Amino acid sequence: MRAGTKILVCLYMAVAVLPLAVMALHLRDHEIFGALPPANKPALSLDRFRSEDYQKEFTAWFESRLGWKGNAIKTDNALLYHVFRDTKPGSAVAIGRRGVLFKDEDIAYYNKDGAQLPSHARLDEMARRIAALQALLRKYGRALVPVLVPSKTSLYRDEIKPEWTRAHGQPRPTDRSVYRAMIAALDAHQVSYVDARALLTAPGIPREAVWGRFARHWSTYGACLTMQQVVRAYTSLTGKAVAYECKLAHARRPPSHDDFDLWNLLNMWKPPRINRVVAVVEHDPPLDGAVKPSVMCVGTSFCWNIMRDAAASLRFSAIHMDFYHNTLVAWPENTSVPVQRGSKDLGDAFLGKDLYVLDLFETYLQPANTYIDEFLDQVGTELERTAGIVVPVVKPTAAATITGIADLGVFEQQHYFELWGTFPNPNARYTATITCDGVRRDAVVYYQNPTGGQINVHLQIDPGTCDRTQQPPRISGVSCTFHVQQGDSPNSPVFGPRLVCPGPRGASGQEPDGRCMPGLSGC
Amino acid sequence: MPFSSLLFVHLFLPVFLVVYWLTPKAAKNYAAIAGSVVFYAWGAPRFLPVVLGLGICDYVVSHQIARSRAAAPTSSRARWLLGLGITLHLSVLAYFKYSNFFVDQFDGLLAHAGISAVQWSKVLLPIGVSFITFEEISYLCDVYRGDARPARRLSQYILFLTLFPHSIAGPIFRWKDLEAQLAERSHSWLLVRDGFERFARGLAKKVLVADSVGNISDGVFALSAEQLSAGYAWLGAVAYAIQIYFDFSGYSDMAIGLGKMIGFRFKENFNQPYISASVTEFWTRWHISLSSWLRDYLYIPLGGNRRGRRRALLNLMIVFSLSGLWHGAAWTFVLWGMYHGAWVIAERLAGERRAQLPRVLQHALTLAIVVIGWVFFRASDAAQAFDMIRAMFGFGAGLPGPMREQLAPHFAQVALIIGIAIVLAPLVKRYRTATSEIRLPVAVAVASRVGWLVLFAASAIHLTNMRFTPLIYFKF
Repeated sequence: MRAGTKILVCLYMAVAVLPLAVMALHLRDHEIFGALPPANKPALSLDRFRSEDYQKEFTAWFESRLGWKGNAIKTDNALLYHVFRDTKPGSAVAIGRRGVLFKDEDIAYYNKDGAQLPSHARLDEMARRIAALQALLRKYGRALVPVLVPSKTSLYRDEIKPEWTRAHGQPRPTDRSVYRAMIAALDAHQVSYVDARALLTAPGIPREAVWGRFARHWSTYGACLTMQQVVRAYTSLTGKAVAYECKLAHARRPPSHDDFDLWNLLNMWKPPRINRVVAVVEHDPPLDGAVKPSVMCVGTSFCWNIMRDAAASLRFSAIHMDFYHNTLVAWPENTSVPVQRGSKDLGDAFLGKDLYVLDLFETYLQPANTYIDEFLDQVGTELERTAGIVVPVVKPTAAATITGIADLGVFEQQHYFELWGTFPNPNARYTATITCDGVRRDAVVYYQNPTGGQINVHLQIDPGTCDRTQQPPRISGVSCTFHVQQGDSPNSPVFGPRLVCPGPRGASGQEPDGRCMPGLSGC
Repeated sequence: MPFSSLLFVHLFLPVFLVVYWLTPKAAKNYAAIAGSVVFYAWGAPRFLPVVLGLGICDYVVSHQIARSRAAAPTSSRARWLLGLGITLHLSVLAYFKYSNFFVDQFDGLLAHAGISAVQWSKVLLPIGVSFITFEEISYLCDVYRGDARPARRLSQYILFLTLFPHSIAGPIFRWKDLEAQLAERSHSWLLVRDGFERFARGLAKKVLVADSVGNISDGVFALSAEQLSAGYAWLGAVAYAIQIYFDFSGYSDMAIGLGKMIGFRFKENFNQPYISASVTEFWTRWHISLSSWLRDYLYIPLGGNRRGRRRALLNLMIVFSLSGLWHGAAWTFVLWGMYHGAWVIAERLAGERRAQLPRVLQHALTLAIVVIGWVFFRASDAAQAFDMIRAMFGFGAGLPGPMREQLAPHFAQVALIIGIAIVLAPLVKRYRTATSEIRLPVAVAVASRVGWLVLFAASAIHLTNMRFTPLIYFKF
């Protein structure tokens, strides 16, 4: 009994001392994902001890270097996961159905309502400022293309467990007050933008190829499809054509790959199995003499894959990323410098870009100011100052109003529409623009009868639009908004969005699910 | 440096124990003082000189009181000295613990009168100030009453005040209980083993149960009044009842265990409080060192039961209200104290009639009263407490609630169930009619010893994980 008692005491002491001993002996520990570099040992002084700064820093140093911390963390997380199907409290990862992993803030976004959501006025103001900056840059042959980046919960909605869902029903308050409201605001201000949520959730898009089950962010393929739309918008805004294709391929990647970031964040023994084959993109080499614009992506970590893909495409001359408008990252060197907020001398890297991609991540469209406002405040103001131009204020007016459209279909790469409504000036020459899936184009008015309330237009459609052979298949039911303008007077209120098809419904038109019917020529 | 911190478990404790055990017996008190001073200085460096200064004052005053009492048992000088000592300690407590509260209340009154607020720098609350103050007062009172002798050595009294196992959350020591142990105590492997086991029990209660269940109660108490349904409100209140018991009694277990490791035997502070059949009984089982202190140094001096029934009831209300205020400088704590005081008074008035209720009903009622009372203790303000209680009785709005998984993860649900089972299991023993104790086989006894060790390791591992927050963007 006596020996047993001594052994037990020694074992208790061993449990208490072991991490300290391992720390002192620098024994090998298991690596943990997401750990910041260990803290430095603080210098002791009486003042710092009295103010308790020393104690805090010493504790941080000790905890960051504690021996076998990795083993302890992995063991505890493994117990929580395998016994309780939980991640630890405060974990950034939520486990969905069939092992799909979500970031906690995306789940929080999915469940927001009421005052947690931005007001329509705020989104409208944001869209107004984006429109003004886009118009300004366009005058100089440059482009700003906002991208509505989806939350993972918008793609994998069916994999969110009921336990993680507040009883708001469908559509979620965020769908109405963030996503749709932002779309409406951008449309109202006639902004050319890319709706990546609509793009990546469209029928026929292979979900796991555009966004991995264990990833927080979209894949390079998802980013490429988005960039493809961005480039189209760039072409439409500047008239400079850049070919940008996304060939889907698959490759085996190590577990450290970004598509497994949430999985790695679990930090556990025996984690759920992952399929290490991920979607990748192959680009054809650019044509000789092709336009190579410079590009900057402004926003969140979703910019990483956009910039990676842009770099891999070899279609851009200089690539930068403005990470939350507080760090400037140069590509492909991956060197970063802090952004001097408030500085008037942001330099050419910021102010000299041909294409700005503004990442409007829906999770981060918040009531309070974010990096978007900071970017628009600072870079927008600087661009305006250096260009010496007053940003035009775009105000809709009720002078002309579209009340309905008739989709006449596609003929020889031209899409024909009848616009019906009130067009007050019978002698005026009307112009029209149509924005489809965020890409704005000027339409050709080939017939107008303002007193009869009708204007007929057509616009060029992209080769491959609604092409059944395109991978992934492009839906024919693209979403378009319409507006008309009379001379230099303000625009009509926007009409739409409406789903349109490049051919009439019926025998040679659109399937009920929006796809083109087989054998339809040009569709 | 809480006991449930990595720094304490993996650095302070093993280093201190090795130094203490290697120190010759005659110098062990000095090793304990050194360890305690380091421990205290780590958490409240600016308050340490105050504690040491007050300790020296007490030492001098207590000897003066004893001398005056020896010269004349009814000496007014002794009473005057006692009054001086108590005033000094209450002033220190008032300044460090209640000055912010009083200034806030005063500012509120000024605001009503349209006068701007008082210029005031917030005073930081030093760790353990409430416990130390009560220990100092009880020491002076006991010396005055002749129940205890003044400390023979200043070092012993300083050790009594600063002894680190009770620095954070008690129990409230009394000099007369520890005097002999401070002068002479035995050490053994058996006692150290028992100490470790008790510490492991306390650490597991705190880290594995209280902190896990805390996820539920924190989640519920963070809900808006509109989101509270009766189910959520009761879940939050019950979870908090389990959390606070396992948290507080876990700390007491750790303190008792640490004491054993260095040869001290402290009195128990909890005795299965949730099996009480009345609120009065609850207060004989919950935070025993505080309730007995309040009885001996407040209730009885106020007159206790000796001045008639009405005065006794008034005394009870005063004691419970002050007990609430002692727990925290906020009206919610006062309300909590008054709430308990009201129930104790009601039980006194009910007298024997209450005992006629079925036993099960007495337990259930007491438990419900105590659980509802914890709502005042946990709420951020009185309005939240009343919202919660309203919801518990079915008057909540019950708008779309929180996410179930976030509010009550599976492990927290399991911890809650285990917690409820542990606190209510002793009831079975109370109802059991069998007279003989069940003797556990040796194998079970050995397994339980190994079990405590495993729990100690599991708690340390869980603690390590809880102190780590991975960042997805760490590489950016």
